[in-house]
Amino acid sequence: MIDPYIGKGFFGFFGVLIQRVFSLFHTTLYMDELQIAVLICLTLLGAIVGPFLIARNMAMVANALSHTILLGIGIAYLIFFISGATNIQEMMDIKVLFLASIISAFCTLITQNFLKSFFKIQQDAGIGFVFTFFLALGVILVSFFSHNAHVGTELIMGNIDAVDLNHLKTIFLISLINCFIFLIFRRGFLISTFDRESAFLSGFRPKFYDMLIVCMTAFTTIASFRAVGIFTGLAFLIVPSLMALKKSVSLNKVMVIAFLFGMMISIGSVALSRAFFSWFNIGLSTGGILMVFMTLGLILSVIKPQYKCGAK
Amino acid sequence: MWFQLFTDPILRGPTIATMLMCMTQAVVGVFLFISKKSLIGEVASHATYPGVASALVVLSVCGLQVCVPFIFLGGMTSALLGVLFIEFLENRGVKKDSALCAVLALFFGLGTLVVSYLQQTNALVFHHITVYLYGQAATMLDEHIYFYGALSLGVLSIITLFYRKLKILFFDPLFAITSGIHIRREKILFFMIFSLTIVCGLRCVGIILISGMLILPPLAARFFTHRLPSLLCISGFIGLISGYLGNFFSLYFHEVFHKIYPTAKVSFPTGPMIILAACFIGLLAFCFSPKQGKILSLFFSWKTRCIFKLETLLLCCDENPLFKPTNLSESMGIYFLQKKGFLKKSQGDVEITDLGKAKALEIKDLYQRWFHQLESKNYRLPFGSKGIKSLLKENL
Repeated sequence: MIDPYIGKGFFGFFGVLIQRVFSLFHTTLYMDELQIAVLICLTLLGAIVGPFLIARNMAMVANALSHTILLGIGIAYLIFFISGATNIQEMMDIKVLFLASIISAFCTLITQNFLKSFFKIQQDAGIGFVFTFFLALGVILVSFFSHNAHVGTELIMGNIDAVDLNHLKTIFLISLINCFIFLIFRRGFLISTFDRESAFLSGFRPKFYDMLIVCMTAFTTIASFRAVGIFTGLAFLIVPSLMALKKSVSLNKVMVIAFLFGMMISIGSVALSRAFFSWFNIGLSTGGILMVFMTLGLILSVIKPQYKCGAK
Repeated sequence: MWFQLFTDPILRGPTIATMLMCMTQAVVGVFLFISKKSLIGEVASHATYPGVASALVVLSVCGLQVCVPFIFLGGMTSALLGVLFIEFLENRGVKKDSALCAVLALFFGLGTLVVSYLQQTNALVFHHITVYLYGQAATMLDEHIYFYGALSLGVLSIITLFYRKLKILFFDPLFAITSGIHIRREKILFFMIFSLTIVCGLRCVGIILISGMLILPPLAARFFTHRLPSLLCISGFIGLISGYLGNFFSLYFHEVFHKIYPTAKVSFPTGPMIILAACFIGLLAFCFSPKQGKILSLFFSWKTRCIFKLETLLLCCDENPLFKPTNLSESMGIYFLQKKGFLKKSQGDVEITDLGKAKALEIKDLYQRWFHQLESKNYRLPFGSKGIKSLLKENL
């Protein structure tokens, strides 16, 4: 069966999509639908972690994490290399990714705390030191193992057109894990975000929840780097939540609205990229179109906010 | 091999050019560091990506050759747009942290959009993008040395001319307003210089890593001094050395690796090596710098505590002739005092000497004067006689 999305314009895309949804995808999933599914999973991940990152002023930590992920991947390569695997494709397995994300999360967090407490370096310079150091180390390690000095184009930009069902399963699994962690520790997250002292008094340790949020962000980043690249993953974390924070103040509503916004943007961007391909025969990157929509959404939501929360 | 990097015609270009480049960036980065805004450097450097990419698109559409000043102009424009967008978001109530992160991600994503368009239309120019993304220091020529020399001279002279205004602007914006300095104009001037530096440095280390040169040298230099002029000089100097060391180690590791594994095709790209060199200099500065280095200061505080213990022991021996050491540290203390001549061993027992008695009198006198002072003023009690002496000297 040929791909029913080929040749459709922007609104034709939605027509085909609705038809396929109602017939419950009785044949295989096509490339565009896979992309939509992946992006929706990423939106879910971002909507869960995002509001907490913004409320705790940890957005730059998420940025640092997205850079140190490269170091985690390098170390995971190193471990697998030592234990015998020599094939690159084998190395891009899910175990590698998990290991990489956890390593990088811990490295970032521990080094940053160490710098701040022992050497008394200020917060933003400490973050800068950590991620630049680890990124340089990561670039050298990864280029060491893949014999290519310009590795990482795929890491940075992602290649959403090379997504297949295995990736979807991986990303879906990761989003389930994140949802699970969030549901278990929900109260702890809420209290330690908005009132650290009383959280400590009530028995929720703030440092534990810091670590948990960093781990969840690391999972999100590692899930997104394969599909859309690191920076789009970062955008998924921050931008829909920023847009939603202007529309509501309650955290639950913010998460739901962020998810809805993200979903609309993802479907719209896949539709537009398909439309461009049909009209002009140019394959623009879906991630890029996603960013354009997010920028527009951010500007629109900031011009006329219903809630101006978020102090200067 | 140390001088080969300056004389060899292939290695000369990258080395000197990157050294000059890193020095300029380190100096410019100091101003951001002192106003605690170092992360704007990172955002601005990522924000140059769409500008560079669009400039290349325009060039390829018009069919022109790769024209470097035009690319620089594009990069500068988009970096400035990024900074303005951050201010716009902050004015509208987005938190500063999140605004920085959002602008970084969004602008970089716009850049990838433009690059994906380029990928389809003009593959040659698309490969040129990797030069700006990861840096390609190894293929620099002598003309690059002249260019970077001119650039460094220009930037440094502008900073020297506007030094006073920049200093006030970054330390205390309110005072700057009341002093009559036109904040908007000076900020735009500074950020133009800043984006020029970034865009010119893209060739050396690449977009991803360039924020390192803006953050690391000032951070390391902060541990050596408190004053702004010496901060600028030391930071520039650290930039110079790390540029040199980066090139040196890249070459060195390459040769060492080739001796061990002649068939392996590994490469040590220069850009990350420069950053790693800067990081290691920074770590050395954190640990061993004279006034604030952590390990050194731990050592000095340990030493002061030892002297304090010895003095207390001496006072004990002076007051109580039948003093016997009870544990290891006391016996070690008595041994050291014997070596210095304050105590002497006679008939299996320790006895105080005249030298020891004089020293003990001196210490007691100092302590008495100190407690006298404490009644009138509010001092924090220091350890030992040395601290007391230095504090008392102020009041004599």
